[in-house]
Amino acid sequence: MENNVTLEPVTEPETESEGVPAAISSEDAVFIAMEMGKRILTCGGEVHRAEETIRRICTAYGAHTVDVDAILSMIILTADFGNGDLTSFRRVSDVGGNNLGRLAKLNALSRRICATKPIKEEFLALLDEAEKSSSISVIMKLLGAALISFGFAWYFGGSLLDGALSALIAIPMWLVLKLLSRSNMNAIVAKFIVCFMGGVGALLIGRTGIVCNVNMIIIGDIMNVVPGVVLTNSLRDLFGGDIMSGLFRLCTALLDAVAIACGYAVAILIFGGAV
Amino acid sequence: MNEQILNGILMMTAAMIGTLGVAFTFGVEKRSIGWVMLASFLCCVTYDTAMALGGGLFVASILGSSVTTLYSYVMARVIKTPVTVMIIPGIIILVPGGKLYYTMLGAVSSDMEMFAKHGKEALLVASGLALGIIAVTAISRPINAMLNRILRDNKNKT
Repeated sequence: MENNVTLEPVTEPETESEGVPAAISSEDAVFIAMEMGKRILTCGGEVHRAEETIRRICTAYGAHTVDVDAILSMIILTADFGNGDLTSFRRVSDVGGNNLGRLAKLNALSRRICATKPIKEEFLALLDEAEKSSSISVIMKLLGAALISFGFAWYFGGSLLDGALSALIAIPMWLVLKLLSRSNMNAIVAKFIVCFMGGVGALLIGRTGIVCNVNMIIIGDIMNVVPGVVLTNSLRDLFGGDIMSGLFRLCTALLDAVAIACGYAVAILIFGGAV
Repeated sequence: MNEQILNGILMMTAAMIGTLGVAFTFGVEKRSIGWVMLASFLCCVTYDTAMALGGGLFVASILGSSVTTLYSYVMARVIKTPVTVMIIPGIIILVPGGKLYYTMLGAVSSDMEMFAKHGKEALLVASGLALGIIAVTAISRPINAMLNRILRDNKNKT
């Protein structure tokens, strides 16, 4: 049996195999499946979903056997389209993204791929369209961050003023976090810096004499950076049998929580107390 | 009594505003936002009712997260969207951000009573939240597989 190892990007299609529709080579089918799997992982999907998507796409394009294994940082696929095993590997970086809208779009796209079996060029156009239509504008993200801080500062027992002040701090916190992640700053250090800033901001507001509850302002801002998505996905991965990915995400969530606690703790220690 | 109801409505409004913020930040599609808000509403109502009936933090968290996860699995099938899209904004109100903050505050200000009380509560809520998700996820996979098989068989027959 011939072992054909392909590295990304797959550029030269081979002769068509019997199980694959005439217009597409098995390499292109593998390329499409792997691109979809990789993107699902980078926008916050579970490992199980990425593996299932790859399996379904390969089967739709006529693969007889599909063996796929994904962890958060890589995907390995071996598929047999009738002309021997074809193995492909992808290194996945940037897995911290949380774009649930894009995840839904990719999910719909994978259904469409299985139904219509597009060729590589058509797939790339569809993928581009799905990604463009699901990018979140900065205004939306800022508005979201402000609403989270406002809503949760209020929900956890603060006044409307506490909520508003919390939202006011959330906006620069989000902008700085974005700036730091763009400059390739270590994600944990970036969270520490941002939380320290948020803590200093809230404590300074508390010192100005405005009648507010500094604790509630800080809690509202914490809800913005708390690793809820990572924690939820880590549990779903762990108990879905993807132990490696679950542990990977759990460790990330715990490190994030420590960075957040340390950031606020340092600010409180410098100011000599929260109130 | 009226004051309690009013307070409950205000809390619910605050939770909904927070959830809407999460939906905006994570780019939830417009067609799913209403369903996501309903997930959060269910979570809030289940958690608050369980707490009001004296269920305690742990039981209330398990109930809140399992009801929301179950709803998410059903709705994900109905509106054809990934479960993650529904669960994450839905259960955000159970994430013990406040309790974690007070735990840290207790540690920083050497207030061991505050540290132990809130640390314990944060652990209870977080583990309840996890257990609720895990329980529903564990039973949903075989049910989903069974549904897929039935749907496929029906399709083949027609």
